[in-house]
Amino acid sequence: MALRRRFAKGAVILLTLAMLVVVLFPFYWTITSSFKEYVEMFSSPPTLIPKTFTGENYSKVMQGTFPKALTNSLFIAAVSTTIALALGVPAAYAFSRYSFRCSKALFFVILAIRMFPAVSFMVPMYLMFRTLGLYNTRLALIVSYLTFQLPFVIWMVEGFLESIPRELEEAGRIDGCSRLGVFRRIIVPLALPGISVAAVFSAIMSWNEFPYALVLSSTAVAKTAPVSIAETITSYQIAWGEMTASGTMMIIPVLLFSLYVQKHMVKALTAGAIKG
Amino acid sequence: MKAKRGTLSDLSERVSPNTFGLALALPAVLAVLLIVVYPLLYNVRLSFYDIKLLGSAKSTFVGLGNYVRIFGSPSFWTALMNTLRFALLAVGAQLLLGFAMALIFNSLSNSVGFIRSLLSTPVMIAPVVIALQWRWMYSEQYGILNYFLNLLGLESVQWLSSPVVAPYSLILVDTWQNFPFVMMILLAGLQSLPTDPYDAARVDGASWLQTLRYITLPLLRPVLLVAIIVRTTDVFRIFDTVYVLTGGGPGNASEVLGTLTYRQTFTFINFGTGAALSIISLIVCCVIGMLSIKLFKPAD
Repeated sequence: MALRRRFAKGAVILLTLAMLVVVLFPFYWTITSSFKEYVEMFSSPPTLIPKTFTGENYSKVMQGTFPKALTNSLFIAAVSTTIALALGVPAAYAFSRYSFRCSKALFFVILAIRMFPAVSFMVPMYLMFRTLGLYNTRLALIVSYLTFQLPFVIWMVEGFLESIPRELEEAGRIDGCSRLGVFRRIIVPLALPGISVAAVFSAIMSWNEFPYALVLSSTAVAKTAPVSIAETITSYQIAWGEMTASGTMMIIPVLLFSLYVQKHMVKALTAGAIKG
Repeated sequence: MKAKRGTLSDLSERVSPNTFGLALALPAVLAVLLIVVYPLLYNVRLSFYDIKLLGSAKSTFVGLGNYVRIFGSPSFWTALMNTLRFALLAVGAQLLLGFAMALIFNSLSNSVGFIRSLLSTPVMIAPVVIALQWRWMYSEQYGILNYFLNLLGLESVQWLSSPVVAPYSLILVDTWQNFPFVMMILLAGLQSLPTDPYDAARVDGASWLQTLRYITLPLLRPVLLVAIIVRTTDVFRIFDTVYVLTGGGPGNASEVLGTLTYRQTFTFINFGTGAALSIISLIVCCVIGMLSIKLFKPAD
């Protein structure tokens, strides 16, 4: 009986390891490939550990337009996340604590936006920005990213605010604090962990975004990292070296940040319907 | 701490509570109106026209003409069917795999947090990068997948160039990226289940399968619902993965609604048709979202 138990436990551990390998192998493969010499990438049999480590893929990538694309991605993520927070946090507080005309309906609409495909915005936004002369600008991308960042921030921060007891605000009010003061001095500091989590997720979403950037940018002025990487595939050939190197550079920051927020990942990426 | 007269703080006191709430939410609501509602309405309007962008040709009003043409075009139905098949298979696979792994993981007396962190990483990475990684692995000649197959004595597979295999290669990528995430959702649900029903079941001598069917699954229904809704709506909106891996091809074997819309609009410069397609996509996504909620909502 004890043997059966141990067998089951062993099987569980084995399966978990197998799952880890399956999940992590493609990343391992990409990252190690990025350090391989071009010839070794196509060697048969493929090498699990690079025979020679070289930085030539990275230097090639850094000499092209990719650094500018990275800066664009960073800039756009920073600005759009800031705007999403500036607009979204007060709104989240309002939806959480106050009920004004149509507040329920508005909140529902804001959440429903999550179901909308990017293509339904892509088409009109392309024409709108072209007419406004904002085509191929970072501003256009920032604005278009707000379509998903703002609802996300509102919904996520609202969830965090729900778990802050209202007694604290009442205590503040009794002490003579104004409503705005309560928001500024009590709520925001308390909700800061939640706000920072929402900010990180929102920034990652912006960093990863592809369809809008693909459609609304045409030159290095506004191109973002995902678009730049996708361009390593042309109709003629695929620049595997550049692709793995730039891919690795795109992955690493996200991996690091996501370790910070992984506790909240379930909450962030579902509709918050699961407790805890 | 009393607010000084004339400051914003003071103002927030003088208005009614709900007006204050409205004021806080107003900038965000206006922004949403401007960047979400207006483009959508504009898009609807666009879909009723045959748009000419070049030269001096004028756009003509065609009413429902674009929609009629779309519904009569086989490539639309192919894309729609592809998307449906994608959703069914991908979400199904992710649920099955995720649920199985959650059950297995749950039996580990101490689920290591570090492992959970590792497992949650794929879903945070840009689908574009994931797709490119897999493109590299799917390469017929140099890809690691065919290498492993050959090692096992099996033939190389034309992962992306065969019209038959390509759609399933895409489904595999999406499943790979998202099943750990589904697993985490279900695991969180499993770990929050009450233990009483299980104790009672054990006393009654229920088998493992019976416990699963009559206790675990019904209790897990809300969590399953969330996983289904989230993944289904995400798959119906899929674009990056398909665009990067196959572009919808070969031919239109792996075309989905998103890539079809993109192609019509930006490759064939057919904005009226593109707008109509994107409106149809929007309606499909919303319908699927509502359907999922209706179908899987636990009976209250």
